[in-house]
This record gives sequence, structure tokens and C-alpha cells, in this order.
Amino acid sequence: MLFNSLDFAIFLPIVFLLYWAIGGKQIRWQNILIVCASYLFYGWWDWRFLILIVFSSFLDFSIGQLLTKQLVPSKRKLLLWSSILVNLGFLGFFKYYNFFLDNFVNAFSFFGMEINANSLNIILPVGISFYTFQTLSYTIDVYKRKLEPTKDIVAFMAFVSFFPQLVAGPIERATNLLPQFTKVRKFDYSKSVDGLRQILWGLFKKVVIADNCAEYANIIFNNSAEYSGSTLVLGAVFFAFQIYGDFSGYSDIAIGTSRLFGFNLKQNFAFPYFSRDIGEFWRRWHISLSTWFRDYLYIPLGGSRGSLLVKIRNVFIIFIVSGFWHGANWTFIAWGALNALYFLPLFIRNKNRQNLDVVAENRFLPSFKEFLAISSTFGLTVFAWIFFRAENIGHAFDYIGQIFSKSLFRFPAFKKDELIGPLLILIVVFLLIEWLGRGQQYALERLGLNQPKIVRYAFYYAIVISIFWFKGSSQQFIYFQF
Amino acid sequence: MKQFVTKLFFFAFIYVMISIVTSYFGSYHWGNPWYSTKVQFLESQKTVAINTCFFGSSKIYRHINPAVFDETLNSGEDKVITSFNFGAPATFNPQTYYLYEKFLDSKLAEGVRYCFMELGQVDLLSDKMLHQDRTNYWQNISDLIYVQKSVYGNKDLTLSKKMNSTRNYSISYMEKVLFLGTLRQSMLSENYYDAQYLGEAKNGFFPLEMELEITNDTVVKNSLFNRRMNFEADNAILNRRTDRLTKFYATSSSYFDVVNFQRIKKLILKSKERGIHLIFIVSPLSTNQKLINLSKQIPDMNLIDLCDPIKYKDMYVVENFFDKGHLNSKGADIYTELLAREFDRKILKNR
Repeated sequence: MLFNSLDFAIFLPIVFLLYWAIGGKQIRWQNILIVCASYLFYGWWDWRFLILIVFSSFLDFSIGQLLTKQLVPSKRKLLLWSSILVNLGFLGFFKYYNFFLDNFVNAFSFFGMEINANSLNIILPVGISFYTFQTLSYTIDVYKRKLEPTKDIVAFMAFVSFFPQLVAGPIERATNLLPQFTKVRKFDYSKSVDGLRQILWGLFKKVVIADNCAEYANIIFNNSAEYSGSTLVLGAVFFAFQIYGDFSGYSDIAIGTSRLFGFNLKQNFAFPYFSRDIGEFWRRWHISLSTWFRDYLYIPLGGSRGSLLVKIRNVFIIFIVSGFWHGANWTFIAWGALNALYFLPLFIRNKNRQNLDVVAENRFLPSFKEFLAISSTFGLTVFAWIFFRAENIGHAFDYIGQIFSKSLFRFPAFKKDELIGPLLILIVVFLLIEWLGRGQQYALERLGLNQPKIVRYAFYYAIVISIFWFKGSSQQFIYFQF
Repeated sequence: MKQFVTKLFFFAFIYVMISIVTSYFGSYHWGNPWYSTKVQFLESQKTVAINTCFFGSSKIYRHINPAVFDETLNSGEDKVITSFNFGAPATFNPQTYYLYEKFLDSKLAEGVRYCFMELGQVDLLSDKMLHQDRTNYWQNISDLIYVQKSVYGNKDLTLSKKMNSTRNYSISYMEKVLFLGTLRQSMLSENYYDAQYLGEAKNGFFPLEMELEITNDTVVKNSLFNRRMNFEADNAILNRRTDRLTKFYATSSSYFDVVNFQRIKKLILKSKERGIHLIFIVSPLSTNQKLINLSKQIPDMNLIDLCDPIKYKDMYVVENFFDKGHLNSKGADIYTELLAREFDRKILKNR
């Protein structure tokens, strides 16, 4: 079920009313409702893959229980690794089997040996990368004794399958989300209104910005040989806004929806395109995934301790694995490696944590230096997105080669250009609103709250109408495929 | 909680009101590019002298050539009939009724004396038709009720088919009311203008082989090409359908869609009030027993039945077909002439 579908518009109010009709003190019944609603939400796409979620939930719940009883370190380790191997095994099979097989075959044929191996027609279960990481975080935290395992199987199943963030995150830590399933949830008016505001902003990002940008990005990337360098630059910029609007929009809707049910999810995007360097960008982009890799991969590898070579190795590993997490394609690995290259100069000079505050805090405009820093960081990320969006590495290099040609200085031209003007204006308005709200959890959080009610509501209606007016042709959320 | 739900309801209510108000600024035909093009074309003409119009699906659009129709009926200088084809692909019942009723209320209907409409059964609205402008733009509460009455009174349908139809119509209706992503399109009719749809003679007739020849849309071209090739490879389907039709005409059965019939009577009456004689056409290959039964209920002066394979053998000759469901230009010309002669015999000569 898509967040921007009529199905969800009917589903959400029904579940919301039932949930609060049960009453805040009936935690177990509320959790049962969440599990049922979540399975319905997921099964709407393909009910067969619910088996994976149920299996994963039972497995990690059981391992959590066994870990508390087991005191022998070697046996505890065995339990941990069995969870990791099974969970990553599913992920590896569904997501990476064909990739490894094809590369294996290609490697052999490179050395003149032909082997017969048939690719499988595997459907990637939606959200598998997200809920796998979420359940893994539980087992690892229990193993490390950072978290007491829950004895409530329903609460645990609700934690794994919680529908707002089941298919595209944010990847919640068990330490943050799981305890919320065992506490009494009371309806909170202001929290719910806040949730609705965040949903509204998320829909705007997805439906207006991402879907409209996608139309142009798709045309340009799919026919890149026919366009001038300047148009290809614009195509990459459109993709940058598409992926940001799409994914952060999804996160906003997920967080807002959770708030309607009395849950607090962590911020997943903190205005990354206003970052002043790549280090800051990665602290603000897909925060739940970055911190997951930091805590469960980077730090266990040694983090920033050890020799310079070890540190560089760790940086490369985390960026490449992060890229590979997005999909079984060399383009994602190249995207990760490129970001590692961007990051290393800052890291080696120990300047990767110099921009921890909000840019131009208490000022309306950034300084010229800040503006240059933001623009150059944005330019670097846009360049990296070319690898992310390209069909394959060859396509990415062709695209870049075409950009750096004489046609770079031609005026951009499109086959379908009647809406390009309004779209550029929309992007500017969007950036302005994001800029005004950059100190908050999401742009609309405090924006206009001190204005008269009529102004505030007129603003909200303007957003609603623009969603209906400028809605692009519906595109699936990009991160569903991850 | 109560305050939250109440406020949310009012917020949504005001939005629905806004969308209803804005819908009055759009055209009634905005989601149907073929029909929309034709209306816009006629409205842009300084003088519109048409007095005969055809409404319906591709079985009107691809089959009735107004040039042949006019030529057959007009002798010498005396121009009795000037016709125009408003047919559009997949414009089924009740969409056709909706468009026709709106047409009657429009300025274009002034001066029109005869209207022909394809007789069709209520469409169940398949899943593949969902979330499309052309499925949503005409939805309204009275047609929603009409469809439900017809569907639930249909004893040939299973409950699951009935329920699926209710679901699909309800979704489409809600999408229309909320203008999910269509507000802009509904206000900008030029989004739905393509001069090609008017046909070569700009009379609304556009035969399929002509479209196959001139279209630049590769998807449309490939689809038409495949349809043509499939028919050439296996045209026995035409014989099977003809046999079935022959049986239908031989069967004495009286079961028909009463709800549809009531609507037809209202349409005839409303047309009469506007000085228009409405004639329903049973097109060749309208393979449905209920539809044939329904046609028998319609007053003779409001019906022309050209479907019977025994009576109209020429209409079922392989050479006259483009694909398994549509006539080619030659077939269309034969059919149009036949229609004109039948119209002349039944209506014009009995005025």
C-alpha cells in the first residue's frame, strides 16, 4: 500500500479510529491491532512475503530470549551469529543472489572459462533491507546487554512490522522503539496535529517535488545521448530533488503517521542539501542508516582508532557497504566509493565534524562563505547521484562524458518543456520553506505557528491544493526497491 | 480526540467544497481527449451548422463516416443532413449518457435535430480502468447510483463481480471529488486537444487503418499493428461471434436491464424536449443477449438495429474488418450507407 494512494487514505483513518477506540490502557489489544494492520498494509503488496516477516520476528524474539538465559560467551556468540546469518542470508538471497552469480560467471568468462549458471527470477520483498536491519539491531543490542529482551511477543512483532516505517524506514533501533510498545499511549492532541503537519509536508515533498522531478529526470537519464551537457546537469539536479523529496517525504509521512498513534520515531533527514561539507551531509542524510552502520559496522571495525590506513579502510568499507545496501549494482558501489573519496580529505585532516550546528543560525541569509560551501557540497552530491541513478557504470560515465562536452554551454532544452518553468518555481518555493524551517525536525514544524489562525490555515490549504494541482504522474517510492 | 476528529473533518470538508467549486470552472469533458478535441473544435468554429450527431464508443468513432452519411441523404443542392461524429474510444455506458446529457445542455445542441447513440450495457469498470482521467472525469453521484442499481439488478453477475464494480466506481468517484492530481488537468482543456482525432475530413471520423498509418505514437502504432496482424492470422473469431449473434436473435428471451431502459426513456424524453430525435443504434458485433432484448423494448422510431447477421450479411464479411471488433474504412462506408438508408426509410420519410 502506498502512502500516496486512496487505499492508504481509507486504511489510515479506520486504523486510527479503531486504535484509539480500544483505549490507551489496552496496550496489548492496541499492539495486536498494529500487527494486524501492519500485515494488511504489507500484504496489500504481496501477502506471500509476510511469511518472511513472521519468521524473522519469531527467530529474533526466540534468540533474544535464549541470549538472556545463556551465560556461556561462545554459545551466546553462536546465537548472535545464527541470527545475523539467517537474517542476512534472506537479504542476500533475495537481493544479491543474481548479482553475485552474474559477476561470478563474468569473472570466469574473463579468464576464458565458460560456466553455466542460470539467474533466478527472484522478486525482491519490499522493505526487506529495512526490517532486517531493525531486527538485527535488536539481537545485537541484546547480545551486548544494551537492551533487556522483551517477553511480549506481540510487542516484538509490532516493533518489527510497525506499518508506518515497515517498507522504507526510518530504521528504528530497538532501544528507542520497542519500549514504546510496552508503555501506555495516550491520545495527545498537539502531537497528533504535529503528526498531520508532518504528513502534509511529506506528501508535498513526494507528490509535488519528487514525482514532478522524476518525470524530467527519467526522460533525461533514459535518453541521455540525445541531450546537451547543460540539460544533463539539470537532469542530475532534478534527480537530486527527486530522491530527496521521495525518501525524506516518505520518512516524514512515516514519522507523522507514527505520531498519530502516539509513537516517536527519530528524525531521518535534517535538511541535508544545506550541508556545508560532505561530513555534515552524511550526518543529515538517511540518519537512521548512517548511524546503524556507524554503530554496528564502523565502530566494531575499530572506527577512527588505529593507524591511518586502518581508518581509511574503515571509511571505505562503511561507504561501500552503505552503497551496496541500496542495491545489487556496481553503480551503488561506485556511488558509495565516490562519497568515501569526498569524505576522506575532511577525515584525514580531522575536519569532518566542524559543522555540527545549524547553518546561519538566527540569520535569514547565509554568509557568502557558507553559501559557497553549501553550493559546492550540493554540486558534489549531485555529481555522485549520477552514479546512483545510472543504469550501469558505462551509462554513468557516458552521462558524465556528455556533460563535459561543448554542449555544456548550450541553453538546456527539453522535449516536454511546458511545465519546466512551474517546476523550477516549485523547487525554489520548496527550498525556501525548507530553509526557513531548517532548525526544526521538519520544515513545517514551527513555521507560521505564531501567525493568526486564518493565515496558518490558508497556508495549509495552499499546500493541500498544490498537492492536488501539481501532482505528477504517480511514481513508486524509490526506496521501496532497497 | 473528539476535537481532533471534528477539526480534521471540517478541514477535509472545506477542501471538498473548494474542489467542487473549482470543478465548475473546468469543462465537463476534460478527461476524454477524443470527445474534448471534437467539442473544442466545433466551439472554435465561427458557424456550426451540424444538425445530426453520433455518440458512443469506437464502434461509432471508427464506423460512422459523416461524409458518406450526408452524401447518401442529401440529394443535389438540398442539404438535409450535416452530421458530425462525437464517438470516442471506450466511451461506454454511462459515460456516453453523461456526455450526451451535457451536450444537450450546451450551445452546440442548438440546431441539432437528430442524435444517434450506440446502445450499450452498463460497464462494470475493470481494474485496469482505475486511476485514469478518462475514467474519473465524468463520475457523479447520480450515475454512481444508476450503475449500482443496474449492477445489483443483474442476475447474470456473481456477487464478487458486483462488489468489484461497486469498489471501482466508488474509488473513481472519490478520486473525481477529491481531484486527486487532476485539478490542473481539469482546468486546462487544451491538455486534451489533438487535431488528429478529428480525422482527415474534420468530421470526427477516424478509421483505424488511417490511425495506424499516420500516428507518431509508437505504443499506439504497435498496438494497432498487433491487433491487425492477430486478426489476419485468425479471423475465425468473426464466424464464432456471428454464430453466437445468430443464436441470440433466434432465442426468445425477455430478460433485459430495466434500469438501463428507464434511463434510455428519460434520454429520449429529454432529447424531445430539446427538439432532438434520439435514435439508438445496435452496432454490428454487439454480442450480448440482454442488449438485444433491451433493443426490442425501445420504441421502433428510436431504434436502428444493424446487428442481425442474417439481415445484414455484408456487415460480417472478413474483408470489411480491421480487427476482431472493428470495421475498416470500406466496412465503415458500407455500414454508414446502410445506416443512412435505414434512417431515411424509418425516420425521415415518416416525418
